[in-house]
Amino acid sequence: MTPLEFIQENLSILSKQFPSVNIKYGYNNLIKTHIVVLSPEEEFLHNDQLDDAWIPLSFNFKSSFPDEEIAFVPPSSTLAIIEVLEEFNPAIMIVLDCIYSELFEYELKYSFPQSIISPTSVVSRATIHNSIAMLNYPEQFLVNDATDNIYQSAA
Amino acid sequence: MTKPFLEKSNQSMMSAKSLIKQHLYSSTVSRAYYSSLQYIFHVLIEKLGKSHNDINKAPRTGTHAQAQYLLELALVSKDKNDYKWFQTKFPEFKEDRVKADYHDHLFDAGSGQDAINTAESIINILKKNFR
Repeated sequence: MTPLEFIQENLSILSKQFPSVNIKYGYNNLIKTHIVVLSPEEEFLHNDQLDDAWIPLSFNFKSSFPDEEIAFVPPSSTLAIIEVLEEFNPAIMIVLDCIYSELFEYELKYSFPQSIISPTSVVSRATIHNSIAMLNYPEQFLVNDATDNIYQSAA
Repeated sequence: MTKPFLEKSNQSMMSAKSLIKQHLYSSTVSRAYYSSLQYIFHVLIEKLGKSHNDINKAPRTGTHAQAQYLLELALVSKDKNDYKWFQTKFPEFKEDRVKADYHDHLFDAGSGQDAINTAESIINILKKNFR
């Protein structure tokens, strides 16, 4: 069995065990490594059963083919697959694309309110008058306090 | 007792931090990568009792790949999530190092700092798991 046959056979089994996981396979010539991308990201990060399937597979490959390297990576990895040689469960990505494109469209359409609610509609005229009076100068509100008078005369 | 690969790893990291200040970003990436690789050698030899022969007379494609493989075998039994992170991050770092040393790819200051951060993260994860 060649490395490629091993990968194709085992990724096919993996894809049937995990129909909600999209699997892309390619080869990175820069670092001479077989790359397997498991999507979506959450499945790679948090699916323990998926871990229990691909981690032994990775070690099995490395011990069976000592001249070959393999890495299982999430879609956010910088390890680019220039040419996808095999893809399993592509439908799941189509479904996810549809969901995300709808959400994205909704986000684009949503806009924050442009006008600011007029204060007269929520605050009475008397309240505004008092507030303006308070802002004019603090002295008129401090004269009743004896302590403040001391401070003011000292100043 | 001297720990030569620990010392080499420290020196490579100091070099990387010095090189980035001189705006030599490709060299920064390369030195940062070697700092993490030398720390892996340190763990394999000083913490896991491997010999130089285990690393150099390897069945794998090269010393780097063999060291990575031996380390992953030990790391997966320590912490699965750290193993998952490492087996993704180290090949990414290796790719950056190949680009830095052998390709016409130009690195900027951000990439240089990212490389230093990645090397430090790898070293910290190894320190955590192999005390």
